[in-house]
Amino acid sequence: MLLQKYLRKDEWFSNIKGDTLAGLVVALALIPEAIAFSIIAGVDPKVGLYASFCIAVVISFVGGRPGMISAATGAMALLMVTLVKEYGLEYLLAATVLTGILQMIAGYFKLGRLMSFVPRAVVVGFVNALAILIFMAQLPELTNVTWHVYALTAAGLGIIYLFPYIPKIGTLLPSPLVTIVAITVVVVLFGIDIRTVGDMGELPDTLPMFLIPQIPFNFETLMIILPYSVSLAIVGLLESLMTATIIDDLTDTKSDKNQECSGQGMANIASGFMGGMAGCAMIGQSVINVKSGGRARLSTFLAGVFLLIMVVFLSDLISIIPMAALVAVMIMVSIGTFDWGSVKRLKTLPLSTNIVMLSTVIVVVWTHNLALGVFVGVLLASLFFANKISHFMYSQTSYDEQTDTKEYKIVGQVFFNSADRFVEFFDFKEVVENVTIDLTRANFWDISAVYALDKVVIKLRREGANVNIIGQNSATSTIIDRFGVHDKPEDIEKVMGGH
Amino acid sequence: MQDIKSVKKAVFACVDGSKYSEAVCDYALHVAKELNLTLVLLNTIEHSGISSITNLSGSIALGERETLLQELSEEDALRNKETIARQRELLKELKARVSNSGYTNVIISQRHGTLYENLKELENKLRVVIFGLFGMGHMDDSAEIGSHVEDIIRDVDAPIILINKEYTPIKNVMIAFNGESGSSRALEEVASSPMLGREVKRYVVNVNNNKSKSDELIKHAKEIIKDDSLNCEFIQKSGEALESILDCIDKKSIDMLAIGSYSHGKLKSAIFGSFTTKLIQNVKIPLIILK
Repeated sequence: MLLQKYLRKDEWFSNIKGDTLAGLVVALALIPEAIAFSIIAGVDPKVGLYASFCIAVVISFVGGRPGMISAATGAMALLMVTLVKEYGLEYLLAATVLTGILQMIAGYFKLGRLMSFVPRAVVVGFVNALAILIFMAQLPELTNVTWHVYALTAAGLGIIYLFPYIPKIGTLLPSPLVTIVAITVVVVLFGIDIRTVGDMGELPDTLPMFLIPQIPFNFETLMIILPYSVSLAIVGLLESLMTATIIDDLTDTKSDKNQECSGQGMANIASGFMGGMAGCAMIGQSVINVKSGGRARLSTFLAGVFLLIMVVFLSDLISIIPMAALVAVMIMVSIGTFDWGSVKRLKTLPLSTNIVMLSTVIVVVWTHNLALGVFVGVLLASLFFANKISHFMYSQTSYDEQTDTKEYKIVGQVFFNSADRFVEFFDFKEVVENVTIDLTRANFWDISAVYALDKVVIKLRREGANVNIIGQNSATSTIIDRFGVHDKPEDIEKVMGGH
Repeated sequence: MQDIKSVKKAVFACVDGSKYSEAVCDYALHVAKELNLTLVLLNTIEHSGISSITNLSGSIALGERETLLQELSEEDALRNKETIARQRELLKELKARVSNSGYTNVIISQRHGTLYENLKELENKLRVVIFGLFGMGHMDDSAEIGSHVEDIIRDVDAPIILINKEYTPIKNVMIAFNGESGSSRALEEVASSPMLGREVKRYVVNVNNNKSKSDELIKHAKEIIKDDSLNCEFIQKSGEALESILDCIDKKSIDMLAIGSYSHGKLKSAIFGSFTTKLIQNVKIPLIILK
């Protein structure tokens, strides 16, 4: 059963030629990214490169979205900076394993469905914030440097964006690769003295090996890594599920989100034990994969394998790549990640949506923590939603002179946010003998609403009126404290009776 | 015209323009006539998601996702329109073929998605499902069966008829009976119910090296059939199951074989190989498969 699930022939070999070429293109694009993200996290490039290999290969078997690329990512790297600075690499490896365990638990409990609580505006904010952070992470390479670096970075960007317009070879050779080769050749030929990848730390010279992180196994250690692992697990799953949705849309196919969650977990556990940092799905790389013709699991698998082969055998060559070339590639990744359409839509979308999106971006850029940004975004969006729904309430009043009866007919949604307005509907100054409150068409969603009703009744009685409530049962039956599914007309009729 | 939504139970002929489409249609017509049910000619449009446009430039520009999405959906739209039109023609031809034979209770239905997911969705309408062993993806007669065929046989709750040759009139049918629940249902469905008509000759075969056990099973089989007026013959064989069955089919020139399907889990089948899969690969006549 398991074997069959993970080795579906159609998900592996339905597109061999396209997947092989795409895998190669992605592997080439992954190398500079893995190095750049290692530098962001403050570890040797080999940590990111091993991670990218492990994650890509493992996820190709156990992931839920064929054709999606997962590896070391910027979003995750940003979350580990202080952990690495304060406690060192071994703690990062342990945190990576723990992240994987948490993600597997999330997959087991099918928490993928919680993604439905994340509104579109927050997703867009997440992506844009990520793009901005990747760009900002390049700034240290561009400050306090000679003019050579600026010139080379600009030239690199020029090649990246103009090379694809050259007929024929433009769409056959990956332009980031052309950029890296061209700039490296120029730097070596002219003997320009600028920083290279080799200056940033150790590159891999062997295959990754299984090793258990050298940390004291005690409660104190757990308390150090747990907060990091929780953030890493959340951000990893968020970006992975978002990317999966993007690939679903691009290829018009479906994916298994819960399998993706546990798959990400397994990939991170493998990465942690192989000396790699935590990673997740990559928006930019996955788009490049689809654009290059990659669709099946084979493309992700080959991207990882090609990456390792190139890195292990060409580590001497990789170490002479100037940082300027890497910066140019990363600026491209940042630009490609940015959701340009969202800026154009700012004018047409409602203000509340824009506030949610921009708040997400601002919080992330401020704190460098994507999890926090998403939390703020979701919170704001929920508040806006509650506020909008609370407008759907009004009261109709009528007065019967013969019986001296005032009738209040309440229609709409009564809950914490509209409870105060509900109380204001009633005129406590008016002297009447009888008051009838008709709740047949009102929905009481929570205890705040019930409390508000009690308050109104007591107050009216104190003023000397006889209070009669109609339709209370149908109104309070909406207080549903279970996550039941009411998808049949008769169920909804039961809850929303009278509407 | 009747709509797929209003159909309660029907005989489903799944066609895709591959080489046995007409045979599938003819066998389905036979079954629909005997059961006096609506015949649904079902065609599914599967989305491969694979594009012919490849750009290996490896760069992503501003707004790349939107541009790529637009390009890919335009390409898909064009391709799907062509496929839909072509398959619709096929469906119309087959419908005319059925109508011309005098059977008018036939409707056509074209749906998006894989055959598997569509059959799962239509599960409560399925009386009998009939499809060709080799779909469009398997034009060659390779002995391998597609993974979707196995998934359908395992998961879709309905009698399934696999077509692997051109149509010939059904004069007899053989039921491989081993006492397991699937083969008992096969016996009920084919021997007692009128799925293939009352007139066909029925052979009930049991391959068993233990004579007394075999006697017991044959007795059990007779109990299931009940109706004595049916033309039934009981055969007891010993030896290797697959060979004995193939041998019997050959000698009696059998037109169809009914069997019970996959009695083991996927993992066990994957390791030891499944008898059902072996039968599907080796038998040259249409198979009726029941769970």
